[in-house]
Amino acid sequence: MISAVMNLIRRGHTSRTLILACSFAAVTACSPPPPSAKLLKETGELSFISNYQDFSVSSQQLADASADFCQTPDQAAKFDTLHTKWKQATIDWAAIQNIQFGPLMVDNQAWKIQFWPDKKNLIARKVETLLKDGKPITLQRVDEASVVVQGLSSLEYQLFDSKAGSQQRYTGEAGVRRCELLTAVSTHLQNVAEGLYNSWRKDGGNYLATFSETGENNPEFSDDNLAIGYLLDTLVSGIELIKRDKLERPLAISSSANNEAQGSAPQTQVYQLEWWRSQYSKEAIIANLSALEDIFNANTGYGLDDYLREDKQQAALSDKINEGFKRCIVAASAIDGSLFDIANKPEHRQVILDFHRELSQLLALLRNDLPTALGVSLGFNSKDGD
Amino acid sequence: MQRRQFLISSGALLCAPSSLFASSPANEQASAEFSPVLSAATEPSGNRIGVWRDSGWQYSQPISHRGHDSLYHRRRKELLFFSRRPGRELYIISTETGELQHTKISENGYHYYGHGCLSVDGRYLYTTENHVDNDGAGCIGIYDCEDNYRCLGHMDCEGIGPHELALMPDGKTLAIAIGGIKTLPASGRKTLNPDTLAPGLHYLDLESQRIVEKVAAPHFQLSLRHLDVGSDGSVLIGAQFQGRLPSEQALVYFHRRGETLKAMSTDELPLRFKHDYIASVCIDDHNTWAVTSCPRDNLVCLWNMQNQSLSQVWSLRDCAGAIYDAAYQQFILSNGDGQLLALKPGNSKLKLLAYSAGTQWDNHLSLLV
Repeated sequence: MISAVMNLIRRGHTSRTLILACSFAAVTACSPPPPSAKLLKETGELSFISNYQDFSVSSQQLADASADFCQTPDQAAKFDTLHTKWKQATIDWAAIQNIQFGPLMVDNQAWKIQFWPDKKNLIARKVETLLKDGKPITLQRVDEASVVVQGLSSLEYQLFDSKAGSQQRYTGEAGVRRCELLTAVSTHLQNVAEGLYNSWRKDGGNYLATFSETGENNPEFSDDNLAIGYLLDTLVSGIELIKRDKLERPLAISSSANNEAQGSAPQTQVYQLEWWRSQYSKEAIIANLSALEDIFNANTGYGLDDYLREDKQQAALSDKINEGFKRCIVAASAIDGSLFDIANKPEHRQVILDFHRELSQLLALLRNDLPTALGVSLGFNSKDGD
Repeated sequence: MQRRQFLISSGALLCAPSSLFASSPANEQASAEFSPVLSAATEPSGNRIGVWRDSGWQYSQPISHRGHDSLYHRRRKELLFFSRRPGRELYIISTETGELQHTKISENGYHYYGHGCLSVDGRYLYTTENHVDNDGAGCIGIYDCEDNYRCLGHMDCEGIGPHELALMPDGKTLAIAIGGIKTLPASGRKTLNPDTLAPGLHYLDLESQRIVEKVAAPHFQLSLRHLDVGSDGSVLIGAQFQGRLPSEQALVYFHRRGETLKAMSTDELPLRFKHDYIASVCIDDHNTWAVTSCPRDNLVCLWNMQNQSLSQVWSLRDCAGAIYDAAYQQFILSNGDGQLLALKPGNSKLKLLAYSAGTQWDNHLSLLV
């Protein structure tokens, strides 16, 4: 802009043109970005990218730990480390699992990371079939194979299944092939996680710019409200996924009521719990909730919480939503033991139902109040198409 | 696309795409990138029907409530827009002037369901209707396009809640998606028969005006609402589940006359619908690909018609209309966010064609070609 003004001066344009050009330059240079742009930029930079980076790092560590373990598969400490690294990667995945837009949705990368629910026990069947077929197990082979043998779900089976996940399976001659698969799947996961992170990074695919610099030249988001709509979807569908798929369906909780019929035992389906083999369902749920809270607040930056408060004069709603996240996390943390263990123990039922009630209340705020406050529709055709 | 190919192409992520969408900035759309589309929409100023060409309405009309599907009567140079149920209006607009020529009100005791199709010669219009005065029985209205859309009568479709219909390639048979849902205007859009739905796919012979084949839906709550017919006679049909969600039922089915209904395969991909709701169904001109939109799950699915399986999935908020644009060899999609997008099989990204802030495109698109 400055050089354009200099050109005007050199070409001897009239003073009026010059004043107009200068004031345009001043306006462009000085006006702060609108609050919505600040919201997108800070949510992208402080929450999304940071979460993708964490997942990329922990997947790398998981791959390293797999390789390290397979050097000396009889060392129990290394197997423990491997378990810890899988858990960290799973927690970091939970922070991005609910993102409803961007590179994660290209050809549904999520499928390569997690295959759940696995109603037909496909993971065990496909992994064992691959182990038995005698052909070399390579990274390329895993990449070209079914998503069922890829990602954290396959690794959970390989590391935590009561039979296939025992350390002894990796020792001796028979263990060589299991180690080949373990390292190939870990490396594949690391590639997927790194690819996702790279596609967001400024010096990579820079999806951050697509998300936060909206406008006519943006190939995806022509204005800020379109992008904010996807933020809203991420929050709503995230809580919906926890409430329905992670609690109601496996634990046979009615979606609306807490007043369960006394006497008859609920028909739980514990093998539909997320991460049932590692009994890590509750931890992943808490990580989901913390991540969604982090997205709402753009970590420490200018998030939806500030945008509601400052730009939309909705401080009360902003506080209620943050309070809702906190209450949900407290209620989930109050569950004693793994969901898999306590699913059928009546004495634990009420604590689970209490958590479910908190989720319902938060979901109502996000689904009913937040769209109106933001001036963004949750869906036109989705609400009542035909 | 073979499954293996699909999986390899999904590995393209490792190349770190700069964006989900192909780069085609909206302001570089001087030349047409898609054929003009007909659609109903809701805008801040109200409900509207019309033709969208390139970056704006070529012409449009306000209407009093939401529209639904539309069609272009090429020979008569007319656009037909159907009211959404329980509307009773059929709007006829001249393509030469863009003016509303005529509003045809359904016969007394009937309302439209929002869809219609033409006979091969363009003489007759067939519409799905609710015979309200016959306790909500479903029927197909026949209209003479050359006599000011005079109603010539109604044919029994042997099912409640007929929704989308299409002419089979033989030119003699209608394929009708029977939703099964009974509603009466007195109770608005409330389902009056939730426990006794009987959805299906019915074929109606135009000469005898009789149903000649009925295929029941695999589940009584699997409301079959939208369909498209390929030039080879294959029928693709999309469902909306009316019971407890998610149903875990297949939602997209393939059919050929005389055969059983076959669920389109998602292979072992965990395509999980939460809301079980297919809006638009569209097959391309070569019967190679088909697209279904799932606005409640914010998903667009591309299906391989040759092996009847899922090929690719995109996330798209509130996606609604889908139509095949043969001139540009692409599907055009619309959504409630005011976007029109191109889906080209083989491309991993959707491409933004047009954007209109505040315009909420309604469920269906058709072409002005």
